[in-house]
Amino acid sequence: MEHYLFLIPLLPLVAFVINLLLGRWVVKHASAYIAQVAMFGSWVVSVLVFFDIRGSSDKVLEQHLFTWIPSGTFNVPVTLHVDQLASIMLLVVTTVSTLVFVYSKGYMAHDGGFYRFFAYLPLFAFSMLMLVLANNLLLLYVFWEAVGLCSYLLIGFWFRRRSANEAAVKAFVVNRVGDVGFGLGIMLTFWTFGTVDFYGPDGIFAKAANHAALGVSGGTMTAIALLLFLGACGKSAQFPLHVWLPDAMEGPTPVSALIHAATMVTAGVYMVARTHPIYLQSESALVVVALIGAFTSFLAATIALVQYDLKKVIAYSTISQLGYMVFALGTGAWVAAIFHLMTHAFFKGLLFLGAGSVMHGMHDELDMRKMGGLRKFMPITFWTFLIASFANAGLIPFAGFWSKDEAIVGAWASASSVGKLAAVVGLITAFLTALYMFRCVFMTFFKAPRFNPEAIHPHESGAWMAVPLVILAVPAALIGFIGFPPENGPFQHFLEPVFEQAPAQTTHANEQASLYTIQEPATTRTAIAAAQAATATETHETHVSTATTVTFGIISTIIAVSGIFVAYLTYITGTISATAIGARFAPLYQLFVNKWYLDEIYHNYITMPFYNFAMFLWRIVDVKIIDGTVNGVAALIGAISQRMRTVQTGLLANYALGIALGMVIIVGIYLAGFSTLFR
Amino acid sequence: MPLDLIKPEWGLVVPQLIVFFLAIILMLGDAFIPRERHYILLTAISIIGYVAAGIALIWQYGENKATFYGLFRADDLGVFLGMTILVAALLTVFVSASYVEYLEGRMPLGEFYVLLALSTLGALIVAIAGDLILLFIGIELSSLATYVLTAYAKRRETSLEGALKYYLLGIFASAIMVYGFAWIYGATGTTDLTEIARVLQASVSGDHREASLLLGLLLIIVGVGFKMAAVPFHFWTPDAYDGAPTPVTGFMSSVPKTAAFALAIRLLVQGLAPLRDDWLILIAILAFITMTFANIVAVAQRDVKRMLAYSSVAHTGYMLAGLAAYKSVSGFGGTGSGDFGISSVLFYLLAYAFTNIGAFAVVAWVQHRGNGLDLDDYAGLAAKEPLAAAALSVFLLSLMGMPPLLGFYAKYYVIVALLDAKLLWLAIAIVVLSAISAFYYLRVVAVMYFSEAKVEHKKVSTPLLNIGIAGMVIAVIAVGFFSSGILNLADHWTQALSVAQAVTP
Repeated sequence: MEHYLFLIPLLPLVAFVINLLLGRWVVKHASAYIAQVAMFGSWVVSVLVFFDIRGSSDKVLEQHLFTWIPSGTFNVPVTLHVDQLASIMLLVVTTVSTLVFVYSKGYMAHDGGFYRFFAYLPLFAFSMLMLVLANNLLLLYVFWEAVGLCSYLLIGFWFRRRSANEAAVKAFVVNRVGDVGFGLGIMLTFWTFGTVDFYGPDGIFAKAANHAALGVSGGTMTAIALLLFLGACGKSAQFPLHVWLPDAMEGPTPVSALIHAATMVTAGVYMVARTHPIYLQSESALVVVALIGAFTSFLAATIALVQYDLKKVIAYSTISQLGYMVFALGTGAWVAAIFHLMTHAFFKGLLFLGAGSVMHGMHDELDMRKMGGLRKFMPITFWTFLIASFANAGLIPFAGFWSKDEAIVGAWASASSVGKLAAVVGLITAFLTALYMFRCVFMTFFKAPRFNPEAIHPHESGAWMAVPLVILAVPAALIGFIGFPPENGPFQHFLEPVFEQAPAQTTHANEQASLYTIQEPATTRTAIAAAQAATATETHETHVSTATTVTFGIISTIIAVSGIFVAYLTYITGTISATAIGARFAPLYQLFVNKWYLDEIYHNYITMPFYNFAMFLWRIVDVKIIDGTVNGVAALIGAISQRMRTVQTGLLANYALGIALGMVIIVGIYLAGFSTLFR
Repeated sequence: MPLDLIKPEWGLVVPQLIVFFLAIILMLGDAFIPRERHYILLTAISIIGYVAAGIALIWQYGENKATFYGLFRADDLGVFLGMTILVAALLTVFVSASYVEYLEGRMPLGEFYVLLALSTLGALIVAIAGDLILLFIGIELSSLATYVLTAYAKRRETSLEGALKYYLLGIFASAIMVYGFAWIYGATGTTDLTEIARVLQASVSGDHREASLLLGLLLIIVGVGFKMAAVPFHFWTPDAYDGAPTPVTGFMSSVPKTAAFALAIRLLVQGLAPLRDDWLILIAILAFITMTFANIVAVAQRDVKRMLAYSSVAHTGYMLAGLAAYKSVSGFGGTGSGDFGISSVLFYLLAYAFTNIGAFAVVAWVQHRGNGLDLDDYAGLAAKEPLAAAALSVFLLSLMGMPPLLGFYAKYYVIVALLDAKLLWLAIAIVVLSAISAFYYLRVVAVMYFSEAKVEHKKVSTPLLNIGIAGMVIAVIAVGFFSSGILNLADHWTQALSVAQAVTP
């Protein structure tokens, strides 16, 4: 099967090239079909790859395509590598992409940029698949940037709209902050280990596990882990770099579903999971990851609670759910993080597509206060949206319940107090999630319509849009069962080889570290760090007791149901008055409505000082000093150039003289220089 | 060497024979095919001929043998150089057909193709020559045909003037080079390059060198420097490049230049490698002078063709820098992996063929539409002819060394080789001068995209030229990604030279 791996990214790439070059003039509306067929083909290959991988317990497929930059010790091979983790990601990305491509055909049907849209989408799919398949850090980084570029292009797809442009720029700039960290992390990795390859005996992972023996301090490992995590924070919209994602909703809704919910934003989670052998070596980095994740999930849920824009609610919900994945990573519950990544891709993609369908039916209206009662007008959208909401709220037996619960249990079971804290925050957030999700459902689909029925005639979307909704509803409802029984399902067993290798290596490192300690007391800190890392993995090893799992299952079910019930009381029966509560807790309400004032803080304390500094650099340093110098040099070269071109007199005799002189000078210098030759 | 008649292996010179017969067929075709069918038939024959020669060349890959008592060496170095030459010749056919047929008062196409084939044949002979005599015959055959091609627009005075200067200075330089050959022959008693290396290896030790050898070496470098247009032997270049019909200029900047570098590699690396301590530093200095002078003078040019002529000289400097990074100590071939110098030159030649012929092709494309060569003629091109402007931008950016285009990889490998050979100062010079070169390359791009159009463009259809340009654009964009594979092929020169030592008949 490894000989066909290249097809997975190649097919979308071909679709991109065709649609880019011929889209407008030749293939026209068929560009959608080209993209869909290519994506479907890529899905088929991914499924075959999955079954091939599943065949034996620790099978890994690898295809070397070519060596990109060979120069001495720094080699960047373009090699595709599929293990169990990558295989899951391939399935998620190709499945959601295929469905979104189908949906987009209906959603974008009347858009002038139809061909452009169906050129960018396959480009994104290609980049995302290459990101997943990369076998080294630099290749991953290249396509990490490429998906960022696609995100930028698609957020600003309606480039005539000022707000879309600003959102695109914001996304790009905020991601830049994270990517600088990522880039520095790669450089530090190469500097420390002398390679950017993941696998093999000389790869980063093997070397990270043995870092103590290689004389690499625990501090360096923490620095690498944190720098890489900064990149993940940008891409996966974690505090403090989450501010771009809500604005990114300016893009077309299929883009929000595919890129800003299901796939690209999970790249950060994937990257941390992929490089988990590095994180295992740094307890402190894991603590940071867990805290950031837990805080983000809570922060975003509180903001989602008070938004009126349908897509914004779902966007904050995405940030919040990503927070779950990240704290699962931070507490060593790797499998739970990937599990939640997968279920989330389906139900959140479905939520966005449903929101898009609502927008489509409501003439691009997004304010939930102007909706209501849509249940009757668009039944398919309603039922699928409802299923996705149940999944997002974590109601048993929908997909989100199993994965979210596993993340919370995993965090609880980890030895550190951070894990317990994360689990508690996760439970509180779960209540908020159920509340805001059903606030959204009730406001949109229930009660009497609050729009003007004379002006707006809501209608169900066509088959191109409805079919993907129905198909996606199936995994959103049921896919949680592949993780059943919790901690011990087929999903967990499938991913075992990826995350189980780590402890063995760590123990090894631990032994070496202790030997090191005996010989060299000064390096005790290193040894302690390694030992701590070992403890961290051991806690992961300790299997959670059935009692804990069941207890947490019951608790989160109660929480989800009560969240939905509170929403019911507030938005259906009106027993609880939202405005009264808002008035009662006015400061808190203001905090949430203003998104914790983060945008203002960034603007006043980061953007403006930076802007002023940039103005200073431009007006004073650049214009006066640098331009002056550069212009001076340019003028000098221009003057020299004018002088020197006169050498070219056009007279043959002068040329011959020049050549002869050149010869005489060379021979003369040489013979004079080597006067010893005349001995 | 015993004079028993060993049957020569004709199979090893098949590519050269194919091009030779191509020239004969074209000559006959020119005489017997009706004039109005020249355009289609002779062009087709040329294309088929070069492709066939290319296939025959690929056939020889990995052979590494010599025949005719070592006169011809069919080794992988020759295959790589030959491939570069044939690719350049093929591209030139695409670029020149309509130009020669329709512009500058309808020049005779048949003779043009004959001369093209003869010049290519000369270059191909240099690529596989293993003997001083054959090297000289090859380079002269290539040069003589190129002199005539330069004068081909005979109704235009500048064409004749440039050709005459090129010719007179060319024979001047050839005489100097042959004089150098004579000294080498006198000192070593043989004209066979491998034998020369063997004799030198035995006799040269430490500081003790014959002055005669050194004189021969220096004269050869002067001659080679002229052929490849290195400063201060470049004086013919601006006039000849500017005067020649545009496709010929593209051809001159690739095929005879490749031949000149083939000459340099065969002579200096295969034959005179034991004297490397003497020539390496001289080549490095020549490289520095060449790139500095050419880049600075190019800044003042307003004529696009003349600017490209100086740019071509500048690139000679970069390639010479790669040659200066040759660091094998043994004197025979390379030290295996890690000797990037010659490989980087080979890669550069191939990359440069695509990029530079492409740039001249777009210049020819614009000339077809009734415009001159001044910068003003390119003003606002992007608005009216977006594809042509985009193509020229790609070529110019590649010449500048912009990643991920082909020209970037070419410069990159030269710089890696220089760093490897501890020639940091030359590497820095390349980087700084590339920055200066950005000025005159980007000026054209800026004029095309940001200025108002000052002249009208005619609507003309040039299908063959368009295909050629499209092919080169794709190559310049795409080949870079597979540069490591090409570099691996180029790396075979080491084997080629060391294997060749053992072969006698």
